[in-house]
Amino acid sequence: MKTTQPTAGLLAEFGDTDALIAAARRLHAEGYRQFECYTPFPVEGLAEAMEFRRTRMPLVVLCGALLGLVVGYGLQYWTTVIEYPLNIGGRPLHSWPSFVPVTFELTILTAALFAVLGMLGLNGLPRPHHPLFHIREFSRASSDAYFLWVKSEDPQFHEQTTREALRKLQAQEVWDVPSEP
Amino acid sequence: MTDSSRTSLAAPWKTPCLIAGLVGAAVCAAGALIQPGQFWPGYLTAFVFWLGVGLGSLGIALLHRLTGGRWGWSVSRPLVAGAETIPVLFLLSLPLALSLPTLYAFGGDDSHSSLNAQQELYFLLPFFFGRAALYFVVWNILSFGVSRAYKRDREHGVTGGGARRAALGLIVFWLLASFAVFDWIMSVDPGWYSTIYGAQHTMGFAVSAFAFAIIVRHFSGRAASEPDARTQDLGSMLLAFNLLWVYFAFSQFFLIWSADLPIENTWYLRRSEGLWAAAAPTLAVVHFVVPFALLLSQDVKAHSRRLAGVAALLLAARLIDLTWCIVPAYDVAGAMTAVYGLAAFIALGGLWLFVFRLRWEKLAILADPVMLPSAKRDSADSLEAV
Repeated sequence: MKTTQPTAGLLAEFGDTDALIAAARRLHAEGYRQFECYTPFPVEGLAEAMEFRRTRMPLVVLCGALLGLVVGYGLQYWTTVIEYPLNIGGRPLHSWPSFVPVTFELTILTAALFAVLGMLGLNGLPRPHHPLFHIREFSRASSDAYFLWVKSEDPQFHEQTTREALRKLQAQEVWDVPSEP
Repeated sequence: MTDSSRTSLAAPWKTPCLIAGLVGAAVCAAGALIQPGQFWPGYLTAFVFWLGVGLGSLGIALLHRLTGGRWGWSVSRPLVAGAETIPVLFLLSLPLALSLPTLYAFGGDDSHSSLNAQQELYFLLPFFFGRAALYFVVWNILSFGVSRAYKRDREHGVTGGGARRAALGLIVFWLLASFAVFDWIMSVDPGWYSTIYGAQHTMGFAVSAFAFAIIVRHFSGRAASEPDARTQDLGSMLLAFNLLWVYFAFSQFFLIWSADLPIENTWYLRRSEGLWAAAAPTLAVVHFVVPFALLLSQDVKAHSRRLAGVAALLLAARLIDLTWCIVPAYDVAGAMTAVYGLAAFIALGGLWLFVFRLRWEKLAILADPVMLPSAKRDSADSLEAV
């Protein structure tokens, strides 16, 4: 029985990016927070319409950079000063200028690794399956269609009113998203 | 038909600039007559600082014509106006012809003991003056090209074009600016040379010019008071320009420190004596650590006012760097050099800003892209000029 099945929300298709942006802005204004947009290409202004401004990515990358900085410098300090001191051309053991290139490289490397892994982690990836995959038309999000998914977790979510709201925002079609079994 | 609301914002500049310039020039004239040994190092420093703002503007304007991109359109007006000040920079360089015996080992009549044979040849005065003339002629031609392309874009409502010529111009510009740095700044220490020095200071010019353009954009009232993507782009570009300078500056230090040869390391040793010892750590903080950390944050670089603050810090850092590179070469330089240097900084700055303001206004008349019939929403947006 379809009606008794728990729902994961509603998926709406929009005809163009302007309609999608307008819908996202309107939903946000009405207090919806748990919704996502899916487009075949980056749409300028969409993130702003969703008021999606702040992410934790910069913090993750900064932590990675600081880790690389400390580890890179620390490794060189430990090897040349503590573990295996060598007199090279009469220079002091702790010759910081020569530590800079490697420290810099490791800082960039770990920052980049944290950026990639952090992006995957914060997006909840890798994820082999997703409730939206139950909807056949959703595969067009990769080619020529613009979708908006209002999640059922949203406190504002109510199947009837949300559906009407999406219709009113010129959604071309609205699907029930079946919850994962 | 100047736009009064736009010009009124910065209008009080002009007369004070001219007065400050003339008063400073009087102090400079007195200094040159009374204490040339103390005066000229200060004048050279101030001249190179303002030359950097003008030349850097030309360089970045050429770069933007080559690459395009929205970041450049929002500062193209101060950049082109800055490039158009090169004739006045030439005039302001003329007094330096009197300074040669004081400033340069090759400038005096006495024996050129500290120069080797090749340097003697390279610094023969006719050759030296000929090169200086060539630099200014070519820079003026490039500046003319940049400003003509800008006006053409304005009139026809297009953005970009002329990338091929800009690429050629940029190569010529970079080479000549490097040689100018060798001729006028590196030569203050006869016998010392560093091949990266020209690139380092040319990059420093770019930092000065871009920081200056960001400040002008902020005060011209065209920048939003809210954080915006365009301002953030400018912040990122400023970070990139400055990091390249840091890279050049550190590379030079690193290589010389590693080799530790007396012929090279004396440059740094001389610059870490006495009060100068504080300069390099100060530069590390104000030219690298602080602006770097601030420009990483969107909270800073997307706000026009905060970004202008960082730009002002970088301009101050540029002045410290040039002072540190030039003045310690002179044993006679002392406390009065600071006084004359400040006077020269105000004199040249006042006169330069006065001319900059005139050029900037002139560009404003052509400026309003909304008036252009062909301007669509997007092109008007990308034509946002300061």
